Amino acid sequence: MPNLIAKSALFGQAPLTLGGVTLAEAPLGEMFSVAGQGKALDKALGKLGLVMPAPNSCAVGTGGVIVWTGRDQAFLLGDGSTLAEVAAVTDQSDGWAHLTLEGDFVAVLARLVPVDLRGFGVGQALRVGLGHMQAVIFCTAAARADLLVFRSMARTAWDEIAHAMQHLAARRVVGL
Amino acid sequence: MRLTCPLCGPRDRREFYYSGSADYLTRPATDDAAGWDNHLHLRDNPAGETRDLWYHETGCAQWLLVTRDTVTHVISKVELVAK
Repeated sequence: MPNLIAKSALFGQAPLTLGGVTLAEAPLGEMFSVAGQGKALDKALGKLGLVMPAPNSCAVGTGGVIVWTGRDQAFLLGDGSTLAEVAAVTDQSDGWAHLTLEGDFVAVLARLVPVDLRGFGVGQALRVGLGHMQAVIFCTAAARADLLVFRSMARTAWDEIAHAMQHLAARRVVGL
Repeated sequence: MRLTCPLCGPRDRREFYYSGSADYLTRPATDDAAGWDNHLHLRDNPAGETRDLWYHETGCAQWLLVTRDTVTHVISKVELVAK
């Protein structure tokens, strides 16, 4: 197997700052889908400083970030290979695009997401539509949202979010 | 219209895909030809409480069993199909 060059979905894309909000692509990292339940899984997750997250939640541990993504399913942003014996684990690293929105992300996402995000904060996660895409949105730090979309949708997601940011910035210019 | 997904909470209708009657959850016996005809083609059309299947497409990807009233449009119950 030759040594392949790993590239993120939006490789080379510079961050975009408009109206005090910054859209950027997160650095390429490992991501695993972890599906399962039970004591063995809880114990293995415990070694990473994590637990299987409750619906609509996420948490940060020594082994990475874990995000709820479905019934008995979570995404581990970190090395999930140690869980392979106790859960259905698949490497999703190259299947998703990871974007971050820093600043007043609520106003931007309100234009794209059919969920009221006011009050969305640290420790929360959502599986939700972003425009016509399926997305995972989670929050591990104040005034910052992390978004996961299918890698094939990366450019579309960037475009739609950038448009929403432009509209909001334009409204600000004319005092709306 | 909103459905309260047992996992995700209250969500907009556009996140869901409508599949059809909850009758699809109960299959007739393999050799029951009349039962299959009924299962595939014959549906009640009640004015009142009805139960149908919805898929939370842009959410948790779960099948939901929704009990609603076709007269008042009240959605009285949303349950996970999976146990």
